Amino acid sequence: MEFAARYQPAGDGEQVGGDFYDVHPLPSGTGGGSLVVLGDVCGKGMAAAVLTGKVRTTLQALLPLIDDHLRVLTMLNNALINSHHDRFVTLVLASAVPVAEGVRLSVTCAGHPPPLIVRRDGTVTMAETGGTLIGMLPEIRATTAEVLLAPGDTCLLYTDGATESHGGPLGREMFGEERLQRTLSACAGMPAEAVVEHVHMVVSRWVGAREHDDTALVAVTAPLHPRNLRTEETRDA
Amino acid sequence: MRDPGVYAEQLWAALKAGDETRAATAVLDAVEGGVSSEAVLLDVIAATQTRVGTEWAANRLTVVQEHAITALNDRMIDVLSAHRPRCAPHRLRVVVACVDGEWHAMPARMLTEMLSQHGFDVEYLGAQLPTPRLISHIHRTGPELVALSGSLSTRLPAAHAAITACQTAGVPVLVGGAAFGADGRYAYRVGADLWAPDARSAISLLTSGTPLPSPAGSSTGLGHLSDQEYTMVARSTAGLVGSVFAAVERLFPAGYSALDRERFADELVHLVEFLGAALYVDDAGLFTDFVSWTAEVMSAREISAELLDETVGALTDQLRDFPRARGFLDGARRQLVGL
Repeated sequence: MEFAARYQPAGDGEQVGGDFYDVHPLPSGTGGGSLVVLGDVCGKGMAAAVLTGKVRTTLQALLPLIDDHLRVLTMLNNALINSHHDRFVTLVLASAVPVAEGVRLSVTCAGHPPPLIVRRDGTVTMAETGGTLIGMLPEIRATTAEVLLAPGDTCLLYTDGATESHGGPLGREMFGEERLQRTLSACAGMPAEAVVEHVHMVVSRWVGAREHDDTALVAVTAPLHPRNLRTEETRDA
Repeated sequence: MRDPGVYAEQLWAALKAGDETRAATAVLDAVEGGVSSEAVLLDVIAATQTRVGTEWAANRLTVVQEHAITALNDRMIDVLSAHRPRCAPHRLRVVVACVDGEWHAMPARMLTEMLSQHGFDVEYLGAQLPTPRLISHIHRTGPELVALSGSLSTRLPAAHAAITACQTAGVPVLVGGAAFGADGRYAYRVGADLWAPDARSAISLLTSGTPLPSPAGSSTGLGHLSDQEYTMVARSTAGLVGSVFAAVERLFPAGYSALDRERFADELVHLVEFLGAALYVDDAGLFTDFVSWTAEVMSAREISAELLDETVGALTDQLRDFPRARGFLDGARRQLVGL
């Protein structure tokens, strides 16, 4: 399977934004897969950066339990609720395991826009997962979607910087969910790297020289043509 | 040794099919067939990349296919790089980057590989790099040269800003790529210290033994900017696009969908951006070339010449009070009539 990501921080000088992503190897015994984490911490600046760091390290520490997304999210929620009263995070967890038919994904959203799945024929659907954002309420709930990516299918995780950016040729319109789906539909069957590059380019052109929000994109793709060992590269799982 | 063109054909077929394994086989076959690393890079990989651009312009590839093929071809540089003899760095330390806002990373990627093959100590920073990041990077790492790649002339003002900032940091700048004109005329206009038409020339320039120039400071050929025409056009792009769109809407073919309209508006943005770039470097040819190219691309996409002519006309109406802009627009219209 392939992974590719793009991250565009808000503003040119800003080094740390509230969006983040990580790819971790799943604990052994889970079929050689990876966990993709993509999230958005509310707010900007130092306090948001500190919380981002905390969320990322906590999730990494909880990797041995990642079989159960809801349990991990609950533990993360408990860790945040006691120390950060005024900030929260929305995130997506996606466990990806290569299987004979492609890539098996377990996807769980916590207050975050559900990832989009583009099939090889161009059909775009939203992963059927939803849940409470993390760090606000004492109890959270979340449902996990099980998705099989066949060769040529891609799952795109994104932050709302992509959909909520304003601009366009006339300068005033929001990019929006529908436009993102349309953009993604055109990316059917492409390698992960090309999908994130294309989406990033379309969104950036939409924003133009105007102020933009943080944007993070991660694509998980079941390649159309499996590779042989001769071309294996370290950047792919 | 077989002609590299044979391997280029093999690579092109594999890339079009989206088949990475076959593409890598083409590259490795070339290496094993005795083609030099440099020729594999330039006459197989780069030659195929050039074809992506021409096929797109002729409407035989979509933008999306262009991205898909480019992403695979980019990996072919990794494949080549992993299978060629290593060369310990013994020449200049060079940072390679793209102009801020530039999407086309491949030329910079190719130059990086070429420099590396020739023993330069090279670092590649990729596309979509904001200029402030580039500058903080060179302050931190102190390279002896910055090589800046640009494909889109609309980014010339951004290139000028980056060049000036690098020079202020004490580092001379080599530029290259289609953005700077086929003869490099825009390169010196925006203050570059060195210009090379392609990767091969860049290598011969840098290995000729001539010492690097000291960074020039700021460019001198931009006095015309005091008329503020560039600033006004760049600042009011959205407004201009809106007015022109409204003026030519009646000419849209029947059955023009909302998506078609959006694409057309997007083309208008390009048109205004190219006009801005032409005003920036004060070169009518830059704008005329873009309009002629658009005319060719549009006819490949079955959009009427009348629509393009009216569009340029409507933009002229909006910019009545800007003599330089009006001159460029009138020139472009005359050119369209001649096509």
